[in-house]
Amino acid sequence: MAADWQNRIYTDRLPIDMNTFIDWNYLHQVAQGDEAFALELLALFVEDNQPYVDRAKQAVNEQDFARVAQTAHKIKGSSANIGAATIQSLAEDLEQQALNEQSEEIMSLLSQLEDFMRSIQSFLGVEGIPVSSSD
Amino acid sequence: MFRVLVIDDDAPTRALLNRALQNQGYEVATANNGEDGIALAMQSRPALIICDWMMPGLDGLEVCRRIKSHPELSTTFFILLTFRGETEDRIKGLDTGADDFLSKPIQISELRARVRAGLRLHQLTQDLQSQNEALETLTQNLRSKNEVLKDLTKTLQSQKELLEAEFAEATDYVRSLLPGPLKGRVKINARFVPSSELGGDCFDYYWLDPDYLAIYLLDVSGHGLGAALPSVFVLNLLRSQSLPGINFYQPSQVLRALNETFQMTQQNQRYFTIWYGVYNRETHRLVYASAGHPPAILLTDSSELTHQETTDIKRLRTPGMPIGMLPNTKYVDAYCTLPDQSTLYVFSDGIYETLESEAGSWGLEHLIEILKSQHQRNIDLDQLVSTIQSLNVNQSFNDDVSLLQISFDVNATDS
Repeated sequence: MAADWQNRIYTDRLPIDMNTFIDWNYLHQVAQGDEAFALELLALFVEDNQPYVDRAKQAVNEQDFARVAQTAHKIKGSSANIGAATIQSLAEDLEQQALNEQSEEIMSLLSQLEDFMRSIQSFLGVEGIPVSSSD
Repeated sequence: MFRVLVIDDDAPTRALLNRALQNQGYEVATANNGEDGIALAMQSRPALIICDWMMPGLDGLEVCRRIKSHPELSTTFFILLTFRGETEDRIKGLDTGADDFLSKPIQISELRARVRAGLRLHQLTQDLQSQNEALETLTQNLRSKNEVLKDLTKTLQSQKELLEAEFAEATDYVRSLLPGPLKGRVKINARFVPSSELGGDCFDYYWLDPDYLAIYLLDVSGHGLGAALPSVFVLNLLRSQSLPGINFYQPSQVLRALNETFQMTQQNQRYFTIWYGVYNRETHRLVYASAGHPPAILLTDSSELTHQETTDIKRLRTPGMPIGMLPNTKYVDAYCTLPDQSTLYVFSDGIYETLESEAGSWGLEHLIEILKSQHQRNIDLDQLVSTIQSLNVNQSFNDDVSLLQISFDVNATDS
């Protein structure tokens, strides 16, 4: 059943391969087979984490790396729990670079995170789920 | 239905935990920060809390510490959400009072299993706690009942002591009324061993005139003061000779007069048995009558006649109902000559009642056997009483024991 669902959601109109980007098996598991709920979780994820990406950017400008690390940790946990595997590994890198205080690396990772967030938003838009990008 | 509280700052995590737990049939509440979580816990008293460790503001450890230190929430099962593999943190969590951990990314089957196990433990803890409370109440009850019993025992003890003191006083009084030993040609020794409750025995002997000696012994039915008081009353009545128109030399007349005076209806269902005799020291003749009383036993040494160590035994009693049982009862006199060196025993049934348990021997016959053997060996009254007492398994008498030993010796000088 998980395979059917995964195939149905996959679409090549998207710039990023959603098939590898999301761990659909995992998401299916935590949503307990409820497709609508799985998409709702994704929407919630974007809605909840988008502001953190913005906050992390601001923190880098203020050289507040501890806050960057905290934010990265939050995104890491959140993405892990919904099976956003790529975002999770980006967040892990981000947390590490924040501890190393690598501003350039951090900014690069943050813009990648933003791209992925937008990808999910676009994907959800195709699926008919409106997602607001502000808090 | 079990109440579960989810505390997590991450919205999708809250949403998926909420959904998964609701699907299990639990009542779920959620909070997105530690402070709101604690407030909600105080308000809804959840059985189980799932709380994220890393949160802005109060973190999971602090929430756990506060929940566990609250007396009414301390049994709440607390699960901390952590990242897989952070073992060092787990030790810190356990030290803070966390009961279990759940790893991110969350596996729904693991979540269900841990929550089930946690709720089971919570339920057990609750049951144990309520059983403990019930036990405590029970112990408290028992303790206070014990106190009441202690007080009661104390009261009973002091009442018993009071009663015993009163009985001792009554016993002393009865004893003070009884006559001392008689010496001379007619020698009388008497023993009165009251039972612990007083049995209603009384006896007396005195010279009606220089030649005639009156002897009697009576036993009022029942025990206690109710028996002792009528007994003393009869003694005073006879001693003061205040039965009008009665010849105290005639035992049957005395018994009839007493019977008319002491009808049971007036005497609170009490009656008494009595042996009454009058002895003439010139003629050695004894006239006697009894009312339901054990016979007086006359022992005569007949060795001089038969050249053998034999003792002749006579049972002195006359037919007649106990005094106070039936009006118009007739009493008759009987006569007997008392040989020199003979001994007469007058007693109440208390002395042989305890011997009745001896196998194959009726109490009175057993007593007569003992009196006979004592007579031949010339043993005194105290030894006799202690011999009888030693045959009694209880070592004490249930009833008053009164015993008169009257010896006749023509060669003795009267004092």
